[in-house]
Amino acid sequence: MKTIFPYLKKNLKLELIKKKRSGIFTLSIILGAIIPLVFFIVRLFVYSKGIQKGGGIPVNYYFETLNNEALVGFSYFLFPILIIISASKITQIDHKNKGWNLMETQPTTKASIYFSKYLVLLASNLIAIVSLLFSVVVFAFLLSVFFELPSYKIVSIPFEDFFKVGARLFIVSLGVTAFQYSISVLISSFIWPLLVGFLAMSASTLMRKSNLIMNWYPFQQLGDVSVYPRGSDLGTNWFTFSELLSILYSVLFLFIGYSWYYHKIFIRAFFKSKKRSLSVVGVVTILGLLIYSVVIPKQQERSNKTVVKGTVSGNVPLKTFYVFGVLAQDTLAKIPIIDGEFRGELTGDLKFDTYFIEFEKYYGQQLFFGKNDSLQIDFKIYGRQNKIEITGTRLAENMKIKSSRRYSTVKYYLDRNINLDKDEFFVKEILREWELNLGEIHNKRTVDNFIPSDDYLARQTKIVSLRSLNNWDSYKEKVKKIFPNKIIKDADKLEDLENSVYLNDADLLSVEEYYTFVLKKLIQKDERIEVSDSQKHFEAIDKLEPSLFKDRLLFKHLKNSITNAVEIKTRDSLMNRYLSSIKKESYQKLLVKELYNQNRLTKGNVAPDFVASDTNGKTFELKDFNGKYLLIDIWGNWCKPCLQIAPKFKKKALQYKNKNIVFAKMNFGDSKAIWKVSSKKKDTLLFDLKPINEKLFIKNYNIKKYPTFILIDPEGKLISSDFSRPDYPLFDEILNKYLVE
Amino acid sequence: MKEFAIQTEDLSFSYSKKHKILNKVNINVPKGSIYGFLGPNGAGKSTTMQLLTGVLVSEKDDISIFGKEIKSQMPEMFHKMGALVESPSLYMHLSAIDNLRCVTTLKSIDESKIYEVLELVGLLENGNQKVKKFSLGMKQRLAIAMTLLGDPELLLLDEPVNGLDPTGMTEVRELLVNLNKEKGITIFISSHLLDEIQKMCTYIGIIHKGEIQFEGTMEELASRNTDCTVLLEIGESEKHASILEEAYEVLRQESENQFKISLSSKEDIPEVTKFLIQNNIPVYQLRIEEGLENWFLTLTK
Repeated sequence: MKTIFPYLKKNLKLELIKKKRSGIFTLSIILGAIIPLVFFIVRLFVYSKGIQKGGGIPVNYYFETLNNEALVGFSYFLFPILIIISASKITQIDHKNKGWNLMETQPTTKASIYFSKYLVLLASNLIAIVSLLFSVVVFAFLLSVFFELPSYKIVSIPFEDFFKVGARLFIVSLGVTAFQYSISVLISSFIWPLLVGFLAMSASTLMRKSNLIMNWYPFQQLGDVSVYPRGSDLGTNWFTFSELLSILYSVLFLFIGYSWYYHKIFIRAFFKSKKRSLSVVGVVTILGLLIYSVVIPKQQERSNKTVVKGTVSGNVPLKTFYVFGVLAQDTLAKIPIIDGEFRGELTGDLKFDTYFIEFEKYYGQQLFFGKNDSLQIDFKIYGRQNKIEITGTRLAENMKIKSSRRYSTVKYYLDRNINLDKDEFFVKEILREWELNLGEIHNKRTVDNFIPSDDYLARQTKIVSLRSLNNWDSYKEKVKKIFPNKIIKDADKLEDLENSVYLNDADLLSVEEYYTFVLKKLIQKDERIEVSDSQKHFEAIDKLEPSLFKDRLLFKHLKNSITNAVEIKTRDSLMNRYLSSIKKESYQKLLVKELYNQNRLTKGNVAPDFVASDTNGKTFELKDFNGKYLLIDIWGNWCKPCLQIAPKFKKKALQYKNKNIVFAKMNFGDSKAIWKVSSKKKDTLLFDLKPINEKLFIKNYNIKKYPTFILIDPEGKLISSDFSRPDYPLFDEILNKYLVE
Repeated sequence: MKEFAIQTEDLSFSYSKKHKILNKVNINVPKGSIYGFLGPNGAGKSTTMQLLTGVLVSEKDDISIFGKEIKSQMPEMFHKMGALVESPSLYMHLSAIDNLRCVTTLKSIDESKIYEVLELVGLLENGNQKVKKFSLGMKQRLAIAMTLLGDPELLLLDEPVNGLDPTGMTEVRELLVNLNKEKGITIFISSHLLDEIQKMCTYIGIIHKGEIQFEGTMEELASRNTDCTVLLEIGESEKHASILEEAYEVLRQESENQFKISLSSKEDIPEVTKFLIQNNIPVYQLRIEEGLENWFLTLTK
């Protein structure tokens, strides 16, 4: 084979002569710099009005600027536009002036003519990327000179991160550029390649609204660089499957494009002789298979141990990391955090389920995993700002669904009694929502093209079905009440759904939807009117054969019942009657403890004593407030909902100023310094307290969430250890009922 | 034995199976000749040109240039060959010099040659002007200049005078004839104008519907057409027409007073004048109609 390089060099030189006045590289520079420039101007205006100070999670200032401001618009919009326009421009030079013939009748090869232009396009891409990164740095630097930035922003150029983003953008652009270039060479008209390009580009945006998975789509992959600026979350390298795919795409497109260009005519290029057809089919098949093998989503391998490990950083001293079971809220693991690191192995037969992880009281969330999973949890906490990153063997499962549709139209109609007379309409809507929700689970793709494992999919599918079934049941109940004579046809599809869910799935009981569903089904045939539903539930559960399922169901039901019961008498009788039906001892113990706490904190019992100090160091005890009602707000500076509700609490304090009630804020979890700074403003309306022994207070009052409100009567007796929130519409009504008494 | 600059052997080409663009075309262009490749539009001239230059790739080894098969010499043969496949292939947004620089870059020639060829085609003063502003004749000359870079032994020119005004045509023609004479460059010109070819070519090949109808020297072509047609313009034609028709074979009455008559040879013309005078027929014009033209027209009808 004759070496192509001397020719390629000549042709590159030629292209540089020809592109004079075409503005190809200039356009790259402009499109790269335009977004950073616009944001720079906007920031100038915004910052000149003052910069918000305050703490936050340390972030690299430049990387944040690139990420939040420039990257999305560039990768989704300007970069593909640049590729489309430049490909058109560079080919139009020769289409318009019949330059192809001129070049082909010179001592150079067609390959070098073809690929030199592609190389110029790659250079144009590279210039745009460099222009983007460079202008981000320059403009951000100027801002940092003009204005004083918040201290949590780290002002140092992250060369490595910028290089990675740039390299990924460049590699992912190979495929798109090859595609766009190939059609621009083949179609000599000026407008068609542009149209095709813009259409192809917008297709990815249009398709995103449907349930189609587009992570294989070259234009979508460009945009994905901005969605995952940090690249792969496997930790081994930062390349993702997008880059590999882009390289394969570019080989495919260039192969087809070049063969077509070489022979000028499609048929001649690919089907003139048997030999050529075979080699074309061969190459396309091999590339097709390679692409397919990359595009096809993978499932992650499990490890051979169940490990939960991670790092903690920030300015809050955390000592322990917890893992709880969702159903019983029992502690499965309590892992000490030493020097910002923790690692724990979980033993035993851990079912695939959602578990609750917690960094003390500061952060908690549900997490899906099971036996032989290895999870890496990196947690950052700076004051009330926190950020968690979870990697490991359950990437897809624990990935947040981006366009999460919390909103259910069926629920909306049900709540407002709309269209209740149209059962066919409801069936249709329920099934539509079922499909959408199912799609969301099955469409989960991580940046590395992982999909959730089968166990997860099976479980979530059941949950989605249950949601639909529960809606259907609610509908039927409503209709029964409002139109007693209406006959509702049961839909076949919904019956199929119902048959797909078993009524003895112990693992699924941690899911609220399943619990609701099972309870409903258990008493479905019980026609007695004189017996309450709760009673019916207990009787039905009690009749079940002893099993883990029964244990868990009864545990959950009993726990809910004693929590909701107002009187000690009710609780005790329920416990006496049903506790022994639970075989699992740990459940029994948990229930006994719960009963003790609930009873202890029942209305009318003497409230546990406490000692707390105000910001001046003056101490108070519970008995100091005797003679007045006392409403305590349990809060902390690290807790966002607490801060949101604080103004409401204060407003109520003002409103009840002349009543026989004291409002007190009780701080938890903050250092004294932070607490004092936060309550600088002297407030005569409120007591601003902090318990001397926070742990004891939490234990005594069984505090499980922040904020919590506690109401104590003038004799020091509890009214409620979990009183209504001040933003609750009936707050005044409930409170006044006690104050008047 | 004669040396050939270009030879094809049963060259065929088709875009689809049904429609053949070229069918067994044999072209033999002797070295040092000016070869006119004649044919009406759509006869297959451009396709032949594209195949000869490798712009289109022939499946078989049926084209040889400088006595060697074309594929083996690609792309180096263009060092010895200048081609103008679709005229004019010029970058309109560039100056004349930049256009020529495109070629010197690819041919790896010194840039000083640019001024030589510009002078040769008479565009030295317009070198820095954008080609967009050139007249058609200037563009055509520049395009030829581009083919002349690197002192080629062979020029392939596709319709080099197409669209030019008569002066432009003459200029280009003179340029080519000079190049042939002075530098001994073999020139292959395609055209659909017989007149143009006749004026400068030594060899001619005629193509129609993808097949070669004639190939040979101009003399051979002329000798094929011994018939002579004469156009006659006479006065009082109503009176004399019958007399004329009796004596000669009238091919056509072109207008009221013009007649075309057929003679067996040129030598018969004095005879005709004599006849006209004898019969007292006033003669306003007597002209030999080109025989080749007719032949070409009938061929391509």
